Amino acid sequence: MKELGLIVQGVVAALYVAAAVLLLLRVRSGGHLLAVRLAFAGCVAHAALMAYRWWVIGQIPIVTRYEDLTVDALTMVAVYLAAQWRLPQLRRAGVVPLLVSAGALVWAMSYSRVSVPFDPSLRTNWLIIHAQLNSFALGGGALAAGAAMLMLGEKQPSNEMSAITGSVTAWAFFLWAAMVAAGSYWASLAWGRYWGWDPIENWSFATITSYAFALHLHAKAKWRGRAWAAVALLPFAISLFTTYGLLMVMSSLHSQYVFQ
Amino acid sequence: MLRFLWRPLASLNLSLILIGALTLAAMAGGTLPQLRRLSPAQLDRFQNEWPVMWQVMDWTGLSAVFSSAWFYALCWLLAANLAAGTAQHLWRIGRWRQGRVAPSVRLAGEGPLPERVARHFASAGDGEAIVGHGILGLFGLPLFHIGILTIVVAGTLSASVQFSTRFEMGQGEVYSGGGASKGVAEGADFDIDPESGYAFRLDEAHVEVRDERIRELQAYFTIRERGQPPRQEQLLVNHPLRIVGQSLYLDKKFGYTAAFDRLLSDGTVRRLHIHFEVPRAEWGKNTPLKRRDMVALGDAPLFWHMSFTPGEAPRFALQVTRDGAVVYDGVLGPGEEADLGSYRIKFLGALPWIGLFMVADWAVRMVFVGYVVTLVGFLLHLLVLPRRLRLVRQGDRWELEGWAVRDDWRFEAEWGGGEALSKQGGSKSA
Repeated sequence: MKELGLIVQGVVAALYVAAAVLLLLRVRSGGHLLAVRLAFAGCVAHAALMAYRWWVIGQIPIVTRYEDLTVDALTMVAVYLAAQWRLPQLRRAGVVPLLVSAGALVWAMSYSRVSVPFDPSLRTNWLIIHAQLNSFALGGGALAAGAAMLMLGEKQPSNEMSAITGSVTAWAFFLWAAMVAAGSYWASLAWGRYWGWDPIENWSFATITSYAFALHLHAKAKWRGRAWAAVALLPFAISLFTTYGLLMVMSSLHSQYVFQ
Repeated sequence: MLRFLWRPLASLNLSLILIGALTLAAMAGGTLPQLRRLSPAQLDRFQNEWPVMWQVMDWTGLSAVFSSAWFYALCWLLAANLAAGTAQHLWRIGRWRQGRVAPSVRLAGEGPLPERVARHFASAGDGEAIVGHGILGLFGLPLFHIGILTIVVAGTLSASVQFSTRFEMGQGEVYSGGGASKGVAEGADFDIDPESGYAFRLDEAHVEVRDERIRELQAYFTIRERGQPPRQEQLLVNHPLRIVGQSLYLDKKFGYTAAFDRLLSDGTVRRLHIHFEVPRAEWGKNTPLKRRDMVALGDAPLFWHMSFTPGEAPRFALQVTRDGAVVYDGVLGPGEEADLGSYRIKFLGALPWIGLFMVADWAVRMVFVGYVVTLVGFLLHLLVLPRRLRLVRQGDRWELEGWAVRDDWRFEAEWGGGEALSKQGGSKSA
């Protein structure tokens, strides 16, 4: 059964990569619709995998590094699918969320899939609120990065594309800020202080301010084209480091929970 | 003079510089070794391995980014920029609402109104008609910025007013504020401290550790507050107890208490609790816990060498010396006594103890209000797009002006940008 789970995970990653490749190719819209269908099929299988894990371990799978990566990957694709259904202009922006999700799924395979019962610290709804907001923030950030890449691919991006990319970036900023606020309130309940300048708190703050920088820059008339799109990629890169890279190089309050 | 100062203070360029600097500062503080996080041994090692780098970091304030003067200056300058920018923004909102800014779209024509114009205006007569919706969305960004200002002010207040204290309590012990005095009591039979107005007793501590991880951590208290009847409460992680404006939290330290009665020469009996911290790996294993302390009770201080084995049959091995001479050397079981000269001790048994901390911070609620205002403001800005249409009709001719915010691409798609004029019936529009 465990091997079947890995196989399904591999197939899902392959579907995401195939969808991303189709989106990258400048084919007619039919090809892009096929990409969306592949991504959707992968997303359904991915969701089923996580639902099965939830059922087997008896608790929501959002704590260990393996679970963190796979749930974030699922949310990134789900956010992309919902956004492109609402705004077909974002269809080709799915390259970034799909490739990042595929990468996260493959990387997750290198981590132990053992689950441990929650510590008393984690038995609270704030875990779900904080962790899920993080996943959605990464989803929004990946989509914003994808839209920025689309702008970089155009010689003269349209005002509409610039406005849409700005809007998606603003949503990523909001979700990240909400995640930090939820985590801060939870910290006040668990640790008696809402902010302690812990490395992960500092880098989360840096992520927020980098998004704020990009959004303020977007308000300037001369920064609405490709130059801005290049700058708009930085907050997503910082958010990826904050979520996945930081704990590999530094210790933090989060380390004890993620690397169980 | 005021205008000379105001324009740069409220400028977007200043915002960009300050936000960029803040981002870099946060990255530096989150990556470079910081004094507040280093143990003395770690600090020593870093200074030996990177002496020049440490000197530079110390001189520039990078060794303690978040308590450095330049970081505070940066935050307050940004707050001033934010306040000035918000005031300017609110002034522009007023002008937008009055139509005193250039419209996003202007259409004109003769004859009947096109359907897409007519559906917004019920009245068909001459004159001016204005429709607007989503005007509340205009206040989203100012509200967001006001929320940030609230967080900055409240955070500064919180840092100066916050008070916290850590302590340990064994089962049966009573803690009262003020001088942090402790005693032992049965049930609710203990006094409230007159200065702090409260006292609480640890009735029961429940700790469960498996595979070196805490599985359960709970405590039960009897709490007495001035003017209120005693109450019993359970303390859990993530659910602090409120006691006279302070919050009581579980620390993740725990262990066993060796409980004694100290029998004085005048016949009085006082309770004595000695706490031994237990590493998680040793919890429940009854491994002997060792401790050495100078104990100053009574006349001369005594040096205690202790080895305490908790469990169902607790044992307390004790060697007491004074000025190098052995006063007592033996092993006590429950109910057994030791004569230490000026007093005797009677070993009662083992009890669990837990670590706790209390925090008083009245400003923290303002911080959370700031969070809510910030998020509500930004959500308003994202979801509610303000639009304003003004139609002027004169006989057969009509002119429409429309206002929307810059990134309202749907408005642009619906109305087109710029002017469109038609001389004969209908309008020339996108």
